[in-house]
Amino acid sequence: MEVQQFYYDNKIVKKFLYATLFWGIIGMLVGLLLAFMFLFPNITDGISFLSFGRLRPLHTNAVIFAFVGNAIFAGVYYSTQRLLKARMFSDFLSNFNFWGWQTIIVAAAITLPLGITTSKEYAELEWPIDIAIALVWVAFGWNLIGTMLKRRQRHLYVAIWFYLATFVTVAVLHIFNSLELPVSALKSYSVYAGVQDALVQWWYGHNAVAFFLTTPFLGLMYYFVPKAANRPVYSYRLSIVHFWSLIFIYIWAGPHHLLYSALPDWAQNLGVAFSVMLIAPSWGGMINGLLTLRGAWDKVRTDPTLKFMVVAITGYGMATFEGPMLSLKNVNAIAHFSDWIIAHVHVGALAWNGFLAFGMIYWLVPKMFKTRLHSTPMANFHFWIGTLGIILYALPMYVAGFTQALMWKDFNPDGSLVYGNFLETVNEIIPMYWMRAIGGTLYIVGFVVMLYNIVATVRSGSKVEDELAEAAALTRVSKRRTAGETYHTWLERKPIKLTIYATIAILIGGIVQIVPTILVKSNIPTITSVKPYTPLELEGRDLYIREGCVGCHSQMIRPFRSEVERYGEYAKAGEFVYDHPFLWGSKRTGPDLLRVGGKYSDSWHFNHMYDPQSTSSGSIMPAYQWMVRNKHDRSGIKGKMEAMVSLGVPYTEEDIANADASMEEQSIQIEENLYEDPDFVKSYEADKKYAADNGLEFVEMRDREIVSLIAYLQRLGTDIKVKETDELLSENK
Amino acid sequence: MKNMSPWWIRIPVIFFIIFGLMEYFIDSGEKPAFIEYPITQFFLLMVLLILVAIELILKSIENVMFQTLSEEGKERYLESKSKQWEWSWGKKMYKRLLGTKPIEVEGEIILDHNYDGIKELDNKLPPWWVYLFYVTIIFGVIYLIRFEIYGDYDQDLEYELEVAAAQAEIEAYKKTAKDLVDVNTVELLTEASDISAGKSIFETNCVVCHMADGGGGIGPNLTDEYWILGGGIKNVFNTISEGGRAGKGMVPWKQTLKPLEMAQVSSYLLTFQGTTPANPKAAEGDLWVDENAPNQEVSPEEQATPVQESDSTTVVMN
Repeated sequence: MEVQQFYYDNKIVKKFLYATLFWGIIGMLVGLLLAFMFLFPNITDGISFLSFGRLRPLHTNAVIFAFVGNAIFAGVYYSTQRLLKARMFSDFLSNFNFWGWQTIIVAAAITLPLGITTSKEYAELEWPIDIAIALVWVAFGWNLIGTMLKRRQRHLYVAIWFYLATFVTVAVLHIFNSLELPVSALKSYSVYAGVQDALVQWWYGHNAVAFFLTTPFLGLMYYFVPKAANRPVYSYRLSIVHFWSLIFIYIWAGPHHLLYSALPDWAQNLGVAFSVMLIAPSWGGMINGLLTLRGAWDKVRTDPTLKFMVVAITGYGMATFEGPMLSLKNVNAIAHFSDWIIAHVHVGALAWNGFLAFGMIYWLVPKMFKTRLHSTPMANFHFWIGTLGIILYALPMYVAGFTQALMWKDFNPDGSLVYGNFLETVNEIIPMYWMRAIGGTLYIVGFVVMLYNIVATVRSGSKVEDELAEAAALTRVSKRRTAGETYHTWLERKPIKLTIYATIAILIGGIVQIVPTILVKSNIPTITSVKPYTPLELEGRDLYIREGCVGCHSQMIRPFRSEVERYGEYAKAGEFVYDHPFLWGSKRTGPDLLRVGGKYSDSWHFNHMYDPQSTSSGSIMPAYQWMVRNKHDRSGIKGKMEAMVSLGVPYTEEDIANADASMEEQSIQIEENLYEDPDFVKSYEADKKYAADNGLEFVEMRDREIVSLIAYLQRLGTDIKVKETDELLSENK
Repeated sequence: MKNMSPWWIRIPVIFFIIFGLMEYFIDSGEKPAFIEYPITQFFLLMVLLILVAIELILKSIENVMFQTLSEEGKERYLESKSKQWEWSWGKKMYKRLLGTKPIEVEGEIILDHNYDGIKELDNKLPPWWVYLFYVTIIFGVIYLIRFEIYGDYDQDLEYELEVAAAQAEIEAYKKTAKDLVDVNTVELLTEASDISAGKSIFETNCVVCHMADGGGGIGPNLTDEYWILGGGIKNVFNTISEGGRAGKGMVPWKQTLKPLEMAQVSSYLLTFQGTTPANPKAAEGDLWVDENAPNQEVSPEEQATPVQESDSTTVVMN
């Protein structure tokens, strides 16, 4: 047998490691800034691109796709080569993967603060970036599968199965969730509407957690934990069973993000049942990780790498137990929309993803730079302050979520709400927001210490070079050697078949849930009074999307007495048929807005957006003064309406032709309504006079952004109130 | 008797089992039985004493038996006793549920896999994990059968039941509760304490739109005699409670303020009548004349209210 010599590509791993550290600190600092915005809402006063609504998606995207994403690539590129005994298939593809991914991140970091967003969570990036993501992801998969085909190790290790499942599933999810119709270079509308869009989005959103934050990291765990502990993997059999059950079941669980929403009951029930079945497959990974450390616990005491990994795996176990519990409808009724969910995701992100990435970095860097870690005490300090940070983050958020949710549901015996003013429930949990910010700070302090430690280690080390390795080339296996081979052993040496089977496993759940929702019209009862948005409202809706209002305000009243009492009639599937994209939201930092239309006067909205604390004392909403000042460019309205028509919204040709006139009429009406406030008249007329006296250009109120937004807000949820409103109007005139 | 647990486990366990059974079988309403019926505390004390007595008797029997043994027998007995007690039942159970081969013999199950130096053991699936998986699968199947095939309640029905139950409770409460004000019974309050309470409510909630002196801002001037939705305590109360015209007027305050509070703030703002604010807003609405028979004027307003409520829950579906 001929032994071949080849080089492992270490430089690409180094690049991804640096990117992980760089984006990690940025993503977390943005998160910290957001945490402080709960305490000081106007900390970035007046700077539109630093407002909460626009930075929130930047934080989630930076942490998920930039920090965790680069950590995945670093770990995958390091371990794949060694597990397959081959250099990556193509250096060009490796570098294309690296630079392409960094370009996408930079594009995200620019577009999201500018308000260029689709508003679908973790898929906020607009269509040109979506295409770029697809290209880079395919390059990654091509590189991965290519390496598999030229491997020198006959069987594929469990880590590789997880990488394969990640590649296939993320590709499928990304493509189907990002189907959108472009209306301009940086604006598109989701092809799905309302309930369908919600289902597709959370099929994606849930499985982004599953196949971007979980399966690749399980793969990394299967490589780095046994390596660092120098112990055999606990159970090969367990890894087979939990791998297949995990990828098959995970894909079904998406609807648990939409419990008690207007999603049809059957989809919700599937989501509940499969989420509960997910406990054991998830815990299979935890067991295999923790029990691999049997006989190495003495090492855990001294080795910071293993410490990080133990807490990571434990965090994984806790989050994956909590997930199914949160999927039970009665638990979800309390936890959903509250800070409980924020606690849940941060246990996952800070402990499982963060700590496993840190453990991997502490192990990899000395190895690649052929040196020792600069300071073990410093790494231990990082471990303890990081752990303390996680606890200080998560516990207060659990308390906050639970407290606030119960306050939302509290009734007086006479049937009125005890905390009828939403702000009372917010003020109650401000101390928790303080503790959260402190916990986050501690975690970041730990990260900074690691940065220093790693820089010092790299300085003391030698240059990273491609590592020489040798292995025998694969020859054809003789029949004799494969006699008595089990089925799965056979599958492990057939990468293409393994890929196909994994694809089938993940497609079943997706197809069963999504195809019926899209094909069967009766899933969405049509309500005759629901009409498409007027042109001005449509433009206002795009502003609502741009400013990320959906990050703090839901538009989904659940069928609970407490919510109907507080917000109005619960949401019906048929109300959302023209909503491309849906804007149900997932968190209520502020109150639900589904039926805010007609609740307040135009002047109230105007003052509230200009200075939220003036109308709602103690509010933690930031001011949106730029919307009050900026001229609103509504020139693209016809293109937008035409796009909506091709998506099935019944605008007539006449509607489109009259769009400008209609906007003019509606905006003048709102401007007139604003004149009801004498203070407004005083300052507005003064501004006008000042502009005229100084020869400055003056933007009429009717042409400003705030007017479009008010038009949209006043429309919200009024379709099924039409009768009532008509009656009131006829009464008052 | 070899693996018997020691007395300090036995007594509390049996005691709490009996305690639990007692609580389960005695119907004591909201409070636990041992508080509701003090006699049960005596019962529990007796149980505890009897348990201790049994242990003492066992100990003394053991002692008596021990004394009857030969010297050799005594030695053997002491030897077997001196073995450190361990919770062998628990340990055995843990081992069985984990199904792991001990580290010392893991050579038997190590596979000939070698991935970059990583080896794999072939431990069996931990039985507890397998059972957990089965239980969740059974849960899932039953869940789907219950709700999808047998069509047990859906969330709309759940909502209706919740509202119906609450409605019944509210009705029951209203029968017994005193001093509940509503639009039909509200009277102008003149007590200084009510007016000052109304003032502070006004200053927290209303000044944003109506100004502290009632001169009006976003909302109308409250000092003149012109009212958009009618003047007088009943109309004002109703407007505060139910809100004004959709999209133009006020928010309904009945979710935020209690009926008495709404009566107080209504009475307070009616004290503005005839005062002169700093920046009065121009009059809006119609001149309100209290003809000592406000019921006639109020009636259209009152009729509108119930209609409005029932309509908001009506959805037209095909």
